[in-house]
Amino acid sequence: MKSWLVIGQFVPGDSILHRLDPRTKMLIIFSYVIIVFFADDSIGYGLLTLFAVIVVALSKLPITFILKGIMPVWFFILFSFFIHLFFTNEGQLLWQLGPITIYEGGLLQGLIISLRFFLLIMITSLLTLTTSPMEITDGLETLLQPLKKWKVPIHELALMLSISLRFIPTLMEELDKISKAQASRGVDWKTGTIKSRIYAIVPLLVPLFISAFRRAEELAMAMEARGYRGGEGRTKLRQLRFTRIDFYAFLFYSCVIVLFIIL
Amino acid sequence: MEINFENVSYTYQKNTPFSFQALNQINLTIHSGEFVAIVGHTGSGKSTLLQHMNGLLIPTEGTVTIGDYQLSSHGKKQDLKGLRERVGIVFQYPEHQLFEETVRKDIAFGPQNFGVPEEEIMIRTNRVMTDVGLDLSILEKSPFELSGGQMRRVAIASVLAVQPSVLILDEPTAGLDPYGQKQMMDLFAHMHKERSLTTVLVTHKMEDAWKYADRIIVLEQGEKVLEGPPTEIFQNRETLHKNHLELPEMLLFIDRLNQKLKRKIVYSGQSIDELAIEVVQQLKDERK
Repeated sequence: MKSWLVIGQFVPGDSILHRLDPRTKMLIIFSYVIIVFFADDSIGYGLLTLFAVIVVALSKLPITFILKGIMPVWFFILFSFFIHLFFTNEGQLLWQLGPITIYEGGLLQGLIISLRFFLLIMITSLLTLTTSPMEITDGLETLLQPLKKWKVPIHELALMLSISLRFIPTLMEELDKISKAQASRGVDWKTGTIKSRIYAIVPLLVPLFISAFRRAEELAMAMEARGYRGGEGRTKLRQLRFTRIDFYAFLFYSCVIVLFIIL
Repeated sequence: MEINFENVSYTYQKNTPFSFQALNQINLTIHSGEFVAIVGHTGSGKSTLLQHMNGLLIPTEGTVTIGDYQLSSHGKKQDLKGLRERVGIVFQYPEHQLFEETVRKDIAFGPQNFGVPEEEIMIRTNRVMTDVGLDLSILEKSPFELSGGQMRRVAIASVLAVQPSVLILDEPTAGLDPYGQKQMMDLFAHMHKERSLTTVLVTHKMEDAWKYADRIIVLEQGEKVLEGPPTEIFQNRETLHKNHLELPEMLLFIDRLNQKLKRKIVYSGQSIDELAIEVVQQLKDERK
């Protein structure tokens, strides 16, 4: 039931990837995402794919789990593949059936685009798979610190982010409970006309919103009761620190980039 | 309707790193017309167990049989609406399921889904409102204007309005004041007798299990550890203690009394008054 949720759901663990500083992971992944768009030959793609494979292996997560996790995106990957396959008219004609034509260029283009897509999603979902939401927001807050000069409310943004990340599973659970209660009262989302199926969502949404508002109010009250006054002068229990692993990670990644540029 | 569990196991999020086995090889039968209490401390699998009773969860192993319905992982998909009409579940904090503009509409929601005609719904609405002890004058109010206790009653009424023949209650009195708790439990006991329902009560409160149930099932870590009539269950103190369950206050009291006064008062379902008379009688006899 919840299998599609796995996209980016944090899996606690003790792999090298888990122990990396979140800032390291974010910087590397951010630059990787940019570099993927610069790749234009098979060596470049080979190198990037190799990097992704090594990183996945280092995460020690079962590969089937990661692949299942990006299930919802498979549709887009396949979609873009077929669009290119059918609508690019370059190179040699490979196959033809009536109006449907497949050219060599289209096949190649389709493969490249879907590989690019695949790499992007794989790597970015690895970030959330191996980094707890707390670490992500902490890392983001420190990385974005310089923006404070321009009066960007970094702390508030990070807090908002961490609260929303924190409440996704809670609201999911709530939704599950409510939908079970309404299913017991005979709501049916699987049969009937489209109109009746859309109406069947109302008994889910109203209780969900009510409980979300109630939770927000309770949370605000609990924070005030514990003396929360915003980011000014607030200390942290967990300080982020770069360690040797981070150094090696940067070193390894720089090698990949240098190779990428040279080749 | 008889409910039968045969070697039922259930694993949440199977084949993922989060997989968690909530039920392990459960065998049990709940007979038609019985009042069964399921006890066990938090995380023992009670809620998972009862979600199998109207097909919200399908066992990952084994078979659940409810009346004519057979649910198992290898069985084919079937329409469970008929099953859900006959098995009503009152979930924990059922007031969280309210959503309509008026109390009347919310109560009518269930019966409408099951295709009950409008005139019949009107009759049922009035009846369940009286059953749960609510005044008919609030029917046109919004359920969100009501007090917590009233909301709970409306939610329970909306389950009763479907007129299920099996009623499943997941800690229906949690969060109510003591008077409301007693009223609520008496209501369920009354409904059970009068409408000859099959009732399954999931509870933390040994008092309720002991007072209302014909049979008690004790769950621990997804396994059935004890099963039997209340008097028998509460003889088994060691097992209960091992599973972090307490005796009802009344039994604890009799235990202490027997120790202090070196007597043998045996509990066999007396009311407090009868018990008091018995104690006084014994003390009088001694003085003679």
